[in-house]
Amino acid sequence: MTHKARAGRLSRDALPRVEGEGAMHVEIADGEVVDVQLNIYEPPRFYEGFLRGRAHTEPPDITARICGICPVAYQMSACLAIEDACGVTTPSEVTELRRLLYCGEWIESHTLHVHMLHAPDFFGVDSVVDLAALDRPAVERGLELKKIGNELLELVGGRAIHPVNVRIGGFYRAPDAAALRTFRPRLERALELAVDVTQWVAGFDFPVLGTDHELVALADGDRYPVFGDRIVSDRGLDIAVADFPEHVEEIHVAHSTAKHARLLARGNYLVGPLARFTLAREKLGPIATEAADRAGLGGECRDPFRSIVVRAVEVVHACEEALRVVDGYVPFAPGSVDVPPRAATGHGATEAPRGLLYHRYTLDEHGIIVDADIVPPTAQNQPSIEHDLFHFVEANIDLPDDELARAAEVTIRNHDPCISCATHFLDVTVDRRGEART
Amino acid sequence: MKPLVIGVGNRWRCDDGVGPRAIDALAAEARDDVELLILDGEPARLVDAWAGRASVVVVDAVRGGASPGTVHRVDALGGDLAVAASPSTHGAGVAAAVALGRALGRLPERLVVLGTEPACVGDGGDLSAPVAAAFDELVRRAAEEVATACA
Repeated sequence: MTHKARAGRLSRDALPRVEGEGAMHVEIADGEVVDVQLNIYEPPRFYEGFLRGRAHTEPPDITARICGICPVAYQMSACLAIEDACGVTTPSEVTELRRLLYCGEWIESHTLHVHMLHAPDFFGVDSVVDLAALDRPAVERGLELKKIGNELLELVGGRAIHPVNVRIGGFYRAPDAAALRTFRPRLERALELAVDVTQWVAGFDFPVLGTDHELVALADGDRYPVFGDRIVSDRGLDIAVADFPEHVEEIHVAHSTAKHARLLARGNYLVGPLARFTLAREKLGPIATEAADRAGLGGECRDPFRSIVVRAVEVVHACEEALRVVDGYVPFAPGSVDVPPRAATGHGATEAPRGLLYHRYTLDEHGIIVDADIVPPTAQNQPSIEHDLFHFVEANIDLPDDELARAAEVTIRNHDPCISCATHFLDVTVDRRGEART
Repeated sequence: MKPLVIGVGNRWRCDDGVGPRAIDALAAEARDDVELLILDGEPARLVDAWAGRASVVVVDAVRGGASPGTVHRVDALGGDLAVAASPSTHGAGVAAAVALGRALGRLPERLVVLGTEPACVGDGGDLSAPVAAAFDELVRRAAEEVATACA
């Protein structure tokens, strides 16, 4: 086969190991990439539409259903936005317990992606089952760590998927101190496992993909961001969460049922682990910092393939944070503060495992939702994922079609896209036109 | 160790709800010779639930190309389970859990999958007529599997 001038169509029926279903299309003409599209054709889910007319107390439970992997992110952003609209600030003990719940989600979601979705790519195998045949202890370690994350979610949230203990203003019931103290050894075990996972992934062979995306994350004072009232970037963006709609435009594109987001006058940007790490590395906990150093991560990380290392470091950090919160925990009752409704618009953003998740709600004087806007991380990252895909295919156009399609899949999985959040199934097609293939 | 029956599925997805409903029906019999559990089908949780067990019955909707309401019985350790058509994480289920359990050496000594052929797995809280008609047989056969395990 002559590669430089080839053209045609390469297709794959489904892209595996992503959260949800979509398709990817790569068009090559005269040996050059001319178009790349991440097609999300999972049916639109209309959450923003059917939130209208609901009570202001309902978004934490309704929006949690958007995702089974990161429901806490939806609950937290919803709570913050509603509380912002109602002019209520929750006490620090509520914020700390929310942080503990969120740590459980970071641990289970990142660990799922690292082991079951992403790591098989670095071993050249198709699934975690095949990976287990090559490195069974690593898979067992991953499953044990993920389980501890789920247990933390159950302890604070009532259950691991779509937790039931979250309400606007706080929690239905704060857990007993004894229950958290009893759980401490599990967190110590998780921390130990997470440090080992970081060393494991740091030893993978990484393809090189230099990217130059603007990196955007929340800023949370001297803390590594989970919450935060400012949205900042590595290129000087520094805005209040409430100003998000003025700086980010959402665009409908024909090839996706998920909207694309871009920064006005700035363009594509990237949210998620690479952004958080690059913007806030010095705010990691001491053990996570040491793990990052030992893993060879510098002051920033812009290589999407190495996002697996950053996720592992963030799991270490989440374990450290969870231990810190547990050690300082004093039970409180009631578990929430009142959030009386008022006619206003509120904004909330938190750091889902995949990146910044923004919610906006407009309420009437009775607390009925008259308008809602939810901007998930995958919608924000979609243009940058397409950008990565374009340049990776361009740089590797000489690869045989099968290898090229497989590598293209990985450039998508690097970003752990949650397609269901953004609107499920990924078909890969590569069109090559211009000259007959030989 | 008592036999374990795991109901897998989502009761708000029509015939996918047979697993949890079968557990409800077995729980109503207040038997003390069996442990009952409802799971969503996520492979790691299934493997955790059945690892080290002597006998496990999984009740779920099972597509086998038969007419809706047909009750299937599959010896999951015999390798008869096909992996779901969708390769995304949303397609992962009992078959993926069996494959993972086998790779990790974490399968029970006996693992039977019982289920009804679904007519509908879309939104809805009710079983379809053919699956509702077969439901009592499904529960009876699950109880028979438990009795076999206890014998």
